[in-house]
Amino acid sequence: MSHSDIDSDVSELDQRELSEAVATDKWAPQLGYCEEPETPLTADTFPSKSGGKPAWLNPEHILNVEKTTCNNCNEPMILLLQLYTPEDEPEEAFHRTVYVFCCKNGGCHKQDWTQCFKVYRSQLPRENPYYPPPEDEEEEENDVAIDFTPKKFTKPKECVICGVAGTKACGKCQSVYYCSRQHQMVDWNSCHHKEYCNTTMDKEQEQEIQKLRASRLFSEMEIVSEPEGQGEDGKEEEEQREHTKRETGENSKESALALRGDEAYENSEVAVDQSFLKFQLKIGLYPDQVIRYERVEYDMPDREPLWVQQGQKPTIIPSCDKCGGPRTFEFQILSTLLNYLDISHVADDSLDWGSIYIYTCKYNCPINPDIFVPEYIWKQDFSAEGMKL
Amino acid sequence: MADTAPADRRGGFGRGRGRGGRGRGRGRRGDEKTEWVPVTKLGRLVKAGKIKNMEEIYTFSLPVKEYQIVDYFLPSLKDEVMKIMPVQKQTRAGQRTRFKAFVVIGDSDGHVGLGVKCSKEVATAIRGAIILAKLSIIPVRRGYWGTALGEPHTVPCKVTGKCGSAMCRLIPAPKGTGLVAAPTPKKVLQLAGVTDCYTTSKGSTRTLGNFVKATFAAIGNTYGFLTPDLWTETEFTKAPFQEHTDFLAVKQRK
Repeated sequence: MSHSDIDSDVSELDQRELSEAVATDKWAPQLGYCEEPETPLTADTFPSKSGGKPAWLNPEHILNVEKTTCNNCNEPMILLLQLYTPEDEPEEAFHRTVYVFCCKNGGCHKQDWTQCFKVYRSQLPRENPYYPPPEDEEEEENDVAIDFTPKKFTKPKECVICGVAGTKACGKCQSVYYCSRQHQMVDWNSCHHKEYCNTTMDKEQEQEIQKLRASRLFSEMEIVSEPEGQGEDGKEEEEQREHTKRETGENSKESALALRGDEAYENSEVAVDQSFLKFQLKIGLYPDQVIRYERVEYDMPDREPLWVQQGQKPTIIPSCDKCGGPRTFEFQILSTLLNYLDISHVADDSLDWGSIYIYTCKYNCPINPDIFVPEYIWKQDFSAEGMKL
Repeated sequence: MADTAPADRRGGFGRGRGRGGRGRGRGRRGDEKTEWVPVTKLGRLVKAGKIKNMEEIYTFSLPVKEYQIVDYFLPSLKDEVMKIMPVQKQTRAGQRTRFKAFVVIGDSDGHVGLGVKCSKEVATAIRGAIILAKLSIIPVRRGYWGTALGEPHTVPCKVTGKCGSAMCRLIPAPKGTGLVAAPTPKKVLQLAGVTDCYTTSKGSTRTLGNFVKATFAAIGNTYGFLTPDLWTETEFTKAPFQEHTDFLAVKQRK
């Protein structure tokens, strides 16, 4: 598995050339960063967030726990992240959210990771019964009162631990809902429901319980985005580029020296993980990114994701379940997200990945009458190679 | 053209115009550019302080993929550019010249690394070679020539390393001898922290790449040699992230 360094063109590993290439990339991906939420991340703000409970796009129909159960350990999964990715076309995808659920048990992932992730796409058209259509900028001056009344429906019960449909209720007090027996046990034992069932709690106790329940999930952060190469740092980088060009402009032209006889037979190969180095350099331009979102324009060619190793690549991407059309790469989740999930990394089987790749239906087919459509996910780990001389 | 299209779409994923999440908060200058965000699991453990020193990483042979890990444990590394070698490839339009940089890095106290990188420009090759050198840092075992008095100053036994036709042999020397070696292995041994050593070399030592790699291999063999004081049985300790959860036990119960 060693990659000879003698003749390979390694110019793409040059940091300066990389940042130049990124700045002139017409279809530079959107990078996602984790930040503390400024406003509460409720469903009507259409948030993109990691961790916490899902903020359902369609508030009337929410996911059932059967759809979010790990097939390995039969525990309910929790929300890893959700991205709000609106589209201008087709009409039905005006509002669009992709939910990624994953099993909390790292050991499960080590056994068979294909069972430990679930991805769902949910969309709503512009005219929908739940949210008023957003104002067009041209009509703002008309001051037309938007005639919209949201549909009246019974809000579905959510599990107090994980946020999916709460079909079961606590036997004693019948006022707290759960999705499954496992979460009921968790609430009973670890979140003090045993002590407070059927009693009224004061504010402090309620807050304590909220915190305990929230600690069963990944910590909630908002995912904000920025196009690669266009950040606030973009201008500074351009200036730096100009500066280095001026400084080292003429030094790089060396006269062609003839190869001495001995050196032609040198064995100076270095076995190093080339794809990881490329990955690291690309990430190094913006080190705290967590998401790379590639679908930035319509009619752009299908892009390859940023792989983290040579092997472990998906062979065939299955077609969309609903429409049979092709699935293309939409975005990838990097391992830097693990820094923001507030989990322990010390255990041998703690949650870990190299990068997770999400493939979704290319044409965003209409999802009626389903509310959630499963999509395809692939995971790559980092290769276990170090440096070999 | 590149700056008009994305400029009006700050923030938000997806292709819907003017909708979707917010852009990055302003006012995040300063340290954020240089702060290291670990990518691998080992990196995360190192950043969290769960790993005490490089020796733990060596004991369990954990592959180091991020050079920032080495920077964290060994902040005082010195690098030495051994040679810049122009290599050429014949193309239809003439010759394509690139530069190969050999860099040796070390802290003069038991850690050395060697990096080789080829690139179109000298500065890039050197920078790349420094990173590779950091990734390849190995520990150096030092010992005594005679009485075990004071700090170890020489190699513990006669070790040899070979690369291509170049062979380099390191022999223990009494205190005060200094490094009796050609300039190339001398630099490597200085950075390794070996104070006294006799050397012998054989083969085509003019091929610097091979010669440096041979000394590097010889130095690396110091920890691979079983000396009598290592005859006692090793008590194996758990690797840094070997604390198992009860996951498997629970699965059995079901």
